[in-house]
Amino acid sequence: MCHKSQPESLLHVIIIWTLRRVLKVTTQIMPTIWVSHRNLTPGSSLSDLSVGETGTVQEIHLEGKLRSYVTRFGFVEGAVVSVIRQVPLGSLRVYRIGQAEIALRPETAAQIRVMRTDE
Amino acid sequence: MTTHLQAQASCHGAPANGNNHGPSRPTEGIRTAAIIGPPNSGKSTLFNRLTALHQKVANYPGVTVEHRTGMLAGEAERAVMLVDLPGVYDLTAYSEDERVAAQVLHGEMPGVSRPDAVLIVMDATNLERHLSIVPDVLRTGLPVLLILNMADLLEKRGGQVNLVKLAGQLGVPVALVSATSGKGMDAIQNFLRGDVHTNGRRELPVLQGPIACQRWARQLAGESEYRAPLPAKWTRRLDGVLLHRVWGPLVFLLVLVILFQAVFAIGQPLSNGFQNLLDNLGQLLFSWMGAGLLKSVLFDGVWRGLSSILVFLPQILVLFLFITVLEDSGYLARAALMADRTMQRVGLNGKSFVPLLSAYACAVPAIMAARTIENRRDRLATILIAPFMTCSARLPIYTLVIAAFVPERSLLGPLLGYRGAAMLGLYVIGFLAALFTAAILKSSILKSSPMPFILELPEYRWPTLRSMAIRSGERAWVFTKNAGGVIVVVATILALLANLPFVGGAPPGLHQSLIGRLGHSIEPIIQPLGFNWRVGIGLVTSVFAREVIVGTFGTLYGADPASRNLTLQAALHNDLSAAGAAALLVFFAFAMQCTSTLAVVKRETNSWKWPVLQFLYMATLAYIGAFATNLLVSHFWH
Repeated sequence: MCHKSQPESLLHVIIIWTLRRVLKVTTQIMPTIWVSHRNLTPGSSLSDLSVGETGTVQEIHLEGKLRSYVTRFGFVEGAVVSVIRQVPLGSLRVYRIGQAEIALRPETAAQIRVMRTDE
Repeated sequence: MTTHLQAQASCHGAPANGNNHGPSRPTEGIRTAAIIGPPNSGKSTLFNRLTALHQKVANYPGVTVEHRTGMLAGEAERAVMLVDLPGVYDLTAYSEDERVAAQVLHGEMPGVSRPDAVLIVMDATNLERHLSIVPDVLRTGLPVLLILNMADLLEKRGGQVNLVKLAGQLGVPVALVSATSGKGMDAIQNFLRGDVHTNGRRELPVLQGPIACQRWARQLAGESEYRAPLPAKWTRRLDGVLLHRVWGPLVFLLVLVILFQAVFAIGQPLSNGFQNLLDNLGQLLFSWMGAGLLKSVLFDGVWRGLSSILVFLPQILVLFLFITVLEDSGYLARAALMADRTMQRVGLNGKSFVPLLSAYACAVPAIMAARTIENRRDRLATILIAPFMTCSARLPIYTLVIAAFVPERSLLGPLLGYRGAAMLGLYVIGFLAALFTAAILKSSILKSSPMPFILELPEYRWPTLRSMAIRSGERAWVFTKNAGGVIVVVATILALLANLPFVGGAPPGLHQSLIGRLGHSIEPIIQPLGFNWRVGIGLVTSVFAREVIVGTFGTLYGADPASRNLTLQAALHNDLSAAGAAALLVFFAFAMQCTSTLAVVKRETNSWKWPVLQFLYMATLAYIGAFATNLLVSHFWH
């Protein structure tokens, strides 16, 4: 009895863990899939733009030191940013802002609200 | 290309001034001038061109930021000292670099006199963003020359700027130059000579914070009729391949393979030849001396110790030549992007990639290369893990033990044999130990607030021979100076210990000497690792440099009548168990047997705390690793 229930509970743990992972990954991926297919809506984040798209920075959800850090690279309200490419082996993307090409991690890009512009 | 830019470009000789008739601000009497500018603005190229080879590198007191000074070249009658400040976007004092730059400009840096003038260097193709450094610098009240670098790129790609308007808006002289081609450099010379007069400063609006600065910079660029050049076509095309989903990682791998191949295929034979040369030279130099304590100390200690470090110079030069090419061409920034994922997993970012790559040659220059990492904690973590990378000093002992214990048999056809696999395995465990340590450090004592990883991609450029020569030479020299100094001192002490105390007026045999007794006395501690007293002596002598253990083994087995006629490999094979040999390899993969590295860590972190911690940690890890290896191998292998 006791011997039988142990592998079962282990199996349960594995199944629940897998389900959780799947759920987590889908919730992360779904919005991006959805976003890339919907029409241009104002107020998405920089990480929502697909490669080739352009947006105007509206708001930066970063405070103090972090905010001035991204400011230096030209991420200010009104700046026009376009997504140049996805870097292989990772989640970084290269953005063009003015003359500069700058790589950001998605968690940073997610803090920058942009308005999509047709270009 | 408009006629307007040509008109401006033709008057490089004299910087454009808003008005030459107004009240003048003489810049005579410039003795010291500071160069400031954002990263990637070509500041170092400009500095190299202005100072030629008359450069000096040192650290600022109390901080780890580098202090580079040089005398202006081609000035016979008057000496002007140039100070190259760290690359900064403004003077807000967030990073150590900015703090140092601000302190120097305000004359608050102890031991560094306040400069008489400032040269602001910026990338002319990126003017809108780079101009934002100007207000901070003007506020210091020092005479300023604004240098718009990369004039050739601006022109080639159809950009333009009205220098007269820009100078008029700011009230400071402006020069459009190209540091790579040397165009417009005379304008800088004229300014430093004091031949330039301006119509006085304009009152700048009070700007609060970097956002206001950025806005002001964009407006100023607009008022100066700045037209940004077209995007760099070639850079974009190259990135299409080098950052391609499939080709990108493949090229990355290929570059790494070529790099290591070059170090071994070109560097190794050069090192071997250099070793022979140094040995012969040593024989020649010391042949007139009779055998005795003095000769032992001078020849076996100082000369051998010094040459044991110098033989790595060719390999280090080759590696740094390659790294400089990769760095100057702009490829290294792309490689850092692709390495970011791996680094992120252990709490670091892509910027740690370059130092860790250099550490495969030698940890000393690698630890110095960590200066480019802005985040202090990330930089410390990188410094602490760099010595785990398999440096060239580990190769002699690896090769010896593997040749003595691992059979020459093929594992994967002609591609990989057992010996190659063993060597590869040692590279891998070193790398894993580095990642493991980084993960521990970054989740405990060096945990930092999540500073976003942002990297600006420089344009691809042809590296110039001039800067390649200057930078590789400089790195090689710093390596020799750092490592050489320590080696001479320690080698002398070790040579004395190996030759004392005298027995009946003659030096003792190695195992009766002080060092031999030390080897015997630590035998109980190292027995669980499968080592005997001979290995113990080797461990003691190799505390200052890993490769020394091979020489020590040579002396020990050569002195023993039982093993005198055997090759070193055979002698080692008879003396050590297979488990002990495996444990010895693991021990060397983890242990910090390198005084030069400790010295450079002390210098770079400005404290004894980190090198001591690093030594103890690596020794503990090496001991545990060797203990486990010995236990496992002797259990499963008979």
